[in-house]
Amino acid sequence: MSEYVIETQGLTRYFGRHCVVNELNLRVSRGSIFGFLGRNGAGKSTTIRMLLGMIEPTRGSARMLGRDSRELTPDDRARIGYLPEGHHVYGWMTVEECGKFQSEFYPKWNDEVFRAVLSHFRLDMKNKAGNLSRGQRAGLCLALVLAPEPELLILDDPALGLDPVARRSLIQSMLYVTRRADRTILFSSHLLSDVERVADEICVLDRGVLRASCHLDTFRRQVRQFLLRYDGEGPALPDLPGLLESFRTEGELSIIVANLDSDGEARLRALPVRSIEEVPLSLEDAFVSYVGERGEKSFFTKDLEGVK
Amino acid sequence: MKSLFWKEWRENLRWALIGLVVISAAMAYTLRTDPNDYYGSNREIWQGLQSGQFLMVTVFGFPVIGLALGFLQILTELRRDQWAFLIHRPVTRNEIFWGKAIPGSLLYLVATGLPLLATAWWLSQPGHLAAPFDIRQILPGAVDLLVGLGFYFAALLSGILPGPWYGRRALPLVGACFGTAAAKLPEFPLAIEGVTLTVLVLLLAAWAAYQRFGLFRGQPWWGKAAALLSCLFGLSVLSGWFWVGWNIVQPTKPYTSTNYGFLKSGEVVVITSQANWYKSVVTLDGKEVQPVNKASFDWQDFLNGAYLSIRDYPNYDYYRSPRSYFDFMYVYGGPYSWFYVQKEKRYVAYDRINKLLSGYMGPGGFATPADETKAGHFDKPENTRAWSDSIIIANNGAYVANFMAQTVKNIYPPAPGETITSASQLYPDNGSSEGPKNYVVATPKNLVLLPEGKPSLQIPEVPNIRDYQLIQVYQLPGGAKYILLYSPQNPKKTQNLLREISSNGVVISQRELPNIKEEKAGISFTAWTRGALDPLGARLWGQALLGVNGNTMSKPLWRLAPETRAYQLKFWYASLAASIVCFVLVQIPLRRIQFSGQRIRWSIFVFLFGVGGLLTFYIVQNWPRRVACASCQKKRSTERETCEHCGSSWPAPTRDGTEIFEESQA
Repeated sequence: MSEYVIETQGLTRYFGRHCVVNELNLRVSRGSIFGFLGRNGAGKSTTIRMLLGMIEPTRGSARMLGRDSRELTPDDRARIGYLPEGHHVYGWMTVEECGKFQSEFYPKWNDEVFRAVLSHFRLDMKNKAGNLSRGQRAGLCLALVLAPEPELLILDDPALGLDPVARRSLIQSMLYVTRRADRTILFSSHLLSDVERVADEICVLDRGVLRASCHLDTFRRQVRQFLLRYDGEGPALPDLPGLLESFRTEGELSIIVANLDSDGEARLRALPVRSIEEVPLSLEDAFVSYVGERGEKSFFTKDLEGVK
Repeated sequence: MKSLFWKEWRENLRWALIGLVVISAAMAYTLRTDPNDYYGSNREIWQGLQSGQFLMVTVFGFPVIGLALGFLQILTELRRDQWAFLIHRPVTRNEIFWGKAIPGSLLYLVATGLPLLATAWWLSQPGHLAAPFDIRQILPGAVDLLVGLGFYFAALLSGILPGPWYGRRALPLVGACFGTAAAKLPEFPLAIEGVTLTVLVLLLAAWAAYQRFGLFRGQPWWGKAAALLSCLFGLSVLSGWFWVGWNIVQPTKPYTSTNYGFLKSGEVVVITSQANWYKSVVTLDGKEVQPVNKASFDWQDFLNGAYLSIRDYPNYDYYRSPRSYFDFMYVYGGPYSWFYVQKEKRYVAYDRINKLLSGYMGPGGFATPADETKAGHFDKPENTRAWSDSIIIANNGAYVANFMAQTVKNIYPPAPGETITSASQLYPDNGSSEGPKNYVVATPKNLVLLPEGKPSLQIPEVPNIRDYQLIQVYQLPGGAKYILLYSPQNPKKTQNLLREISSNGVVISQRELPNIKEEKAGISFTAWTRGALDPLGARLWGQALLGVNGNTMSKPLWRLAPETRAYQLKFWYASLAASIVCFVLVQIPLRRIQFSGQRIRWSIFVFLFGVGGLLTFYIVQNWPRRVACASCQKKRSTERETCEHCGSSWPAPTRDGTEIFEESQA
C-alpha cells in the first residue's frame, strides 16, 4: 500500500487559453489532514475535480488511492467521500430520504454515523432538505459523506458561508472521521483559523502554481516577520531572497520573508537600525503575505498632507 | 441504479404530468366537432387521429415535451456542485446515463403515449366521431412519438456536450429534426426506418457522450459514429432550412404550362396558363382566340374532360392519410356522413347528429346495421380505394352510387375475362349537375361510353393503345359527338392522338397532334450548389435504401429512364467534385500529430460526406490549445508532454525563492 493516497505528476489544466493549473506535483500522505489553500481562482476546485476524474487534465496525471483518476471504479469512489462546495442536496427529499437515497449506493453505509452527525447538527429526519438553513444543509451533506466511512475525504471549501458555530461543528465532525489512523482528509478553505486548528499538512496554490507543500509547522517556521525600528530616513532594503512583503511607515519597517537563511538573517541584522525584532505571524497573516501582492509598500502621514 | 431511477422519476414526474395535461387538452381541442359544419372549418375532423390539427399536436407537441423533459433532467443538474454530487458515487457512468434515460423515456411516454392511446380508445368507441375508426390510424401519431423520443435524447446529448449553445450543442437538437423530416416520408417503412435511425443515433451519441462527459476523444467507436451522424443530421437539416430560406428570398418565376384544350365548339386549341390564369389561347393554325365580352377566359369557356387510364397504376397511399383505410365521400346534404371503407369493401354511413354507425351500402343496396348482410360487399381486393366519390370499380362491374337515394347501380358489367381500369362521369356540357348522367369506362384495350338511357358505345379500338397512358374524353353540347385525346406514354416515340366519335360510336376523324414541348430550363447555379452539397455517402445510402425498399414511389438510379438518369448523374458528379475538394482540404489539419493513426479514417469520412463531413470533422474534435514552444518557438499542443517539433518537455514553473517544500518534496 502506497504511503500517499493522492499523487499528481505534472497535472495541468487549460480552460481555453487560460492555464488554471500548471504542472502540479502534489503528494498527500495517508492519514494526514491536508489543507489545500489558495486565493479564489487559484485552481483548487479545478484540481479537486481533476483528482476525482470529473474533468480531464490537459496533461499530466493524478493517482487516487493508487489508481489513475481517469479510471476510478465505483469501488474506488465508494472509498472516497467528496463534499462539493455549495453543499448540494435534493431539496424535495426529506433528510431521511436523502440518507436512504445515498445509503443505497454504499455497501459500507454506517447509519449510526449518519444519525450521529445529524444529531450533532440537530437535524430532524422529517425536515425537507430544501427547508434547511445553510449550516444544517452543510451538516446533512457532511453526514451523507461521512456515513459511508470513506478512507479519503475530500472537502471543497466546506465552511463556506457557515457561521462560527456551524464551522466548529463541521470541524468536530471532520476530526471524528480521522479517529482511525488510516483516514485521510483533503480540504480546501479560505478560513485559515480552521486550517490551523485541524490541518497537519498544507499546500498553497497561487495562480495555478504550487508554491508550498509542507507541514503546517514548517510553513509557520519558514514565513517570518521582522520589525525594524529606526530614526530618520531609515535604511535601504537589502536584497533579500524570498522577500514577500515590506511595509514602511515613519520610523518602522516591517519585513515578511520566506525561507530566510542564516546569511540573509545576518544581512538583516547588520542593518543600521535602532532595533530589530522578530514578530510572530498568525497563519492567516503568513498566508495573506504569501499569496498577496508582493513588493515594497509604504504609508507616511506626510502623504496625507494636502488631502482634503 | 434503482435509487437513481426513483430519484429521476420523483424529480421529474410533475413535469411529465404537466406535459400530459397540456397534450391531452390540445388533443381534445382538435377533436371538437360541430355536426352542422362537416364541410366547413372542421371538415377534416372525420380523419380523427390523422386529421391535420391532431397531427399538428403530435408533430410539434411531442418534440416539445421530449425536449422539455430532457433539458429539465440535465440542465438543472449540470450546475457544478449538483453535478459533482450526482456523479461522485459508486456507480458507473453507464448507470448514471441509464439512470436518467430510462425513467426520462418512461416519463416522456407517460406524457405523450398515454394521451395518444386514450384518444385512440375514445375514438374507437361508437358515438364519438361520425367516421370509421381503424387502429392503423394511430401509426402517424406513434411515429411522431418516436420522433419526440429522439428530441428527448437530443436534449440529453446537447446538455452534456461542451461548447457554445449556438454551435456544437445546438446541432443534436437540429439533428433531431431529421426524424421529423423522415416521419413525413410517404411510405411507412421508409418513415419508420428514418425515424428509428435518427432516434438510435441520438441515443447512442448521448450514451457515449455521458461515458466521457461530452468529450469526443476516448468514446467507443459506436459512440463516435453516432456523434458524427448526429452532427451530419444537424448539418443536413440546417442546409435544408437554408435552401428553403433561399427559395423564399429568390424572385419566383410563375409556373407556366401549355396543354391542348377544347372550346365549347369542339375546336382544339393550345392553352397556355400562367400561375393558374389563362395567358393565351391559340388555334392549331396559330391564331390567337380572344374571350367574348370579357377580359379573360375562365374554365367555363372550355369543355371539361373526363380523365381515364387504361393501366392499373399501383396505389401509393400516404401512411399519414386516412385514405389508406377509408375515404370520405363529399355528399352535400342528407343526414349521413358517407365513407368508402376499404376493409369493408362497401360504403358506410354515420349519423352526423348521434355519430353512430347508421348503415351500409354495397352492391345489394342500402342496409341498416341490423341487416347489414343485405348490402353485400363489392367484389374487389381489400385495401383498394373506391375509384372516385361515387364510382366503384370492382371485378364484376363499375358501380355508381347515389347517396341521396341510397342506391347502387352497376353501369358496366365487363365481359368474361375483361377488367375495368378506370371510369368517370362525363361532365355535362353546361357545367351544371343537372341533365343526363353519362359515363365512360376504360379497359386495358378500349373505352366504352355509357350515355344515360341509351345503349353503350364501344369506341373502335386503337391498335397501339398500350403506347398511351391517359385518355381525355370530352362530350360536346347536346351529346352530338365526343372528342377523345390520347396522351402518349413516351412523348419521344408517340404523338398525341385526337379522335372525334359520333353519337352512335363511329369515328368521324382521327389525327395526330404534335406533342407540346416543355421548356427545359438549364441547371441553375443554386441547383448545382445543392447537388454538390448533397454528400456522396448520403447519395449512396439513399440508393441502398431505395434498392432495399423496392416498392416505393422513388426509384434507384439504375431503374431510372436513361434520360432522367443522365440528368441525375450530373448532380452525382457535382457531389464527387465537392468530395474531392474536401478530401484535399482535410489533409491540412490531419498533418497534426493528434491525428496520427486516424488519417485514413478521417480522409474516407470526409470524402464520403463532402462539405458536411469536413464541417463535422472540425465540429466534433476537442481541439487542444496550442502555444509557442519555449525551445523551438513553434506552436505545440498543450496536451502533449513533449513538443511535437523539437521534443522538449514543458518548463517547470519559475521559482522565486519563496517556495516552501518539505525536503523530501523539494
